[in-house]
Amino acid sequence: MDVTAAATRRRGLRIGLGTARNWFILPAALWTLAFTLYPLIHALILSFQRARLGQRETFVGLGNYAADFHDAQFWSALSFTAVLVVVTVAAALALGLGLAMLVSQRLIGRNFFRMLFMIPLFATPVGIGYLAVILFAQSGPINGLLQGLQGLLGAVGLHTSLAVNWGSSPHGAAVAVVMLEIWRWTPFAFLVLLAGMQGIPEEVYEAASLETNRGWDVFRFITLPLLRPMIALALLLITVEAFKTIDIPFAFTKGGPGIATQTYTMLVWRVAFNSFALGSAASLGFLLLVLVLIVVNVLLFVGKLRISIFGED
Amino acid sequence: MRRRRSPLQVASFVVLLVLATIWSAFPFVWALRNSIMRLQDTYKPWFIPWLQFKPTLDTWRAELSGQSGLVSAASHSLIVALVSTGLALVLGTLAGYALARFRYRYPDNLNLSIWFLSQRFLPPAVVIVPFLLMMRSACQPLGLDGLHVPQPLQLLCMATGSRTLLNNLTSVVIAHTTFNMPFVVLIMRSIFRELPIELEEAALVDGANRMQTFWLVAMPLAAAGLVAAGLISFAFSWNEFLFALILTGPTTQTLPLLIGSGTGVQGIQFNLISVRTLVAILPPVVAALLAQRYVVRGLTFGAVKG
Repeated sequence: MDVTAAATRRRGLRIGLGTARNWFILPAALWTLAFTLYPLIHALILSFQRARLGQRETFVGLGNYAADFHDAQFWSALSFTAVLVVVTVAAALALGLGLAMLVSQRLIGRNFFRMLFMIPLFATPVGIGYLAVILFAQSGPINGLLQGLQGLLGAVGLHTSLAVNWGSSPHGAAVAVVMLEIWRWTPFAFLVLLAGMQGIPEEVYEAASLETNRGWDVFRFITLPLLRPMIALALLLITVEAFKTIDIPFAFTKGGPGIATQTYTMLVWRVAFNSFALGSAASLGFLLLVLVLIVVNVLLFVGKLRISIFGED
Repeated sequence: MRRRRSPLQVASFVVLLVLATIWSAFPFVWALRNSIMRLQDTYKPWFIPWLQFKPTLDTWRAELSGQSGLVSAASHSLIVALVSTGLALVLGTLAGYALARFRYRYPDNLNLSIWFLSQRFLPPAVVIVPFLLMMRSACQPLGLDGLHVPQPLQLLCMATGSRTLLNNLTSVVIAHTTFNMPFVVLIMRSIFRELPIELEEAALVDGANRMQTFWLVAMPLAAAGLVAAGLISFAFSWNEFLFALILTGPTTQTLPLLIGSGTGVQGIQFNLISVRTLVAILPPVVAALLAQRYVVRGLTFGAVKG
C-alpha cells in the first residue's frame, strides 16, 4: 500500500470517533448476534441433551458425542465429505488455473468465454443435481461418450469397458457427485485466479522474456509464485463451501446407493428431521464446526491470509 | 507474450477452448434438449431437433401456465430473494461503511471484520436445529418458569397474523438475510475504503452530520458496488436450499424445492425437471452476469479487486 493511501486511511480512522459510529454497526451486529450466536449457544446446550421434538429434554452430558463416534453413518459421512472436499478443491484449483491461463491469452471474445466459464457457479445446484440423474443415466450422454471412446480405443486394439453404472455402484455414484462439485467450484477458482493473473504487470513478463523463452519456466517461476496469495484464498473459500455440500447429492443420489454419497450436512439433516433426534443432530453439527474451524485456521496460518483478505486495519 | 504462435499451439489452444466450452455448457444444452422433447424420448441419445425428433413446447406451456406450481414457487423465491437482499443491503452497507470509516476499540475493526466473515465459515448444519426451534416458537412469549417475556419476533407474527414462523416465508427471509449480510458488509467495506475521504471530510466541515455524509456523499459514489452486492446476494438467496428445505411447507415452497417435487411415482420426469431447472437457473445467472465487474470482489469478500 502506498504512502498517500495509508495516510488517508489513518486520517479516515481519526475522524470516526464519536457516538454516531455505534448506530452504523449496531443493527448488523445485533442481527448477527440474534440469528447466529443465539442459535449457536442453543445448539451447544442441545448437544448435551437427549432432545426430541415435543418431548422434555434430559441432560446426558457427553453422551451424544460418544454415540456419534460409535455411529457408522458418522464415519461414512465424514470420510465421504473429507474426500469430496480434498478432491474438489484440488481439481477445481487445477482446472480453474488451466481455464484462467486459457482466457488470459490473446483471444477473440475473451469476455464471452469469461462469462461462459463462470455460469456453473451460479446455476441452481439442486437443478444441476436433478439434471445429473439423466446425464449420468445408464443410457445417458456421459455413458454414450464413454462408449464412443471405448469404440475408438477398441479400433486401436485397446479393449476396455468404460461405461459405468453411475447410479447403482457406490464408487460410481461417489465419483459422479465429486465430478459435479468440481464442475460447480471450478469457476470460482477460475475467476479468482484470472483476476490474479490480470493483476500481474506486463513488465514482469517482459523482464522475464530477457531471461528465458520457455513458457513453462515463465509459468513456474513468475506466474505461479505471484499467484500464490490468490491460490491460497481460493483454496480457503472453496474448502469452506465444499464442507457445506448438500444440495447436489441431495437431488442427484439422495445420499445413495445406501449411504455411499451421504454428505455430513445431509446426515445432520436426516438425524434432525427424519429421526427427530435433535440433541444428536446438534452434537454432530458441533463436531463439524470444530473440524471446519481447525481446517480454516490451519489454512489461514499456512496461507498467511489475514492480510490479503482484510488489508491492514 | 507477443511471440507468434505456431500452428500446433493454435490448434491445441482451440481444442482446449472447445473442450472447456463443452464442459461448462453441456448440462444446459442437454436440459434445453430435454425441455423440448416428449418424456418417452428423453432417454434416447438424440440431440438434433427436427432431424432426429420433433420438438414440442408442450412442457414449457404446461409449466408456465400458472396451474403448475412453478409460477407460485418462483414468486416465493422472488419475494424471499428480494426482501432478504434488501435487508442485507441496508444492514450490511451501514456496517460496511462503519468498518471502513470509523474506529472501534473493543472489539477493534479487524476483529469485527473477521467476526462478520466468520459467519460465512459457519456450517449451516450447526444451526439448522436451533434455528428451526426458534422459528417454531417465535410467536409464543419466552416461557421462563411462568415468567412470560415478550420477544421481538412476536411483532413479526402479529404483523403477518400467523401463529408460527414455520411454513412462512418470513423465516426463510430471516435465514437468508443472516447468511448474506456478512457478505454485503465485507464487499461494501472494501468499496468504501477505496473512496477518497476528502469529500466526506468536506461535507462534515460544511456542517453535515454523519448520516447525511454517508447518505448524500458516500452512497452515490458506492452505488455501482451496492447494485453488484445486491445482485450477488440475490443469486445466493435464490439458489439456497437447506434453510428453505427445513423452513418452508407445501404452500410456501421456493423454486429449488419445487424442481424435484412430484417426481416420485412415475420416476423422474426429465422434460419437466429440465424446464424447471432452466427457469430456476436463469435469474441468478443473469444477475451474476450483470454484476460481472464485481463478482470476483464479491466472492472473495472484497479481498480481490477483479
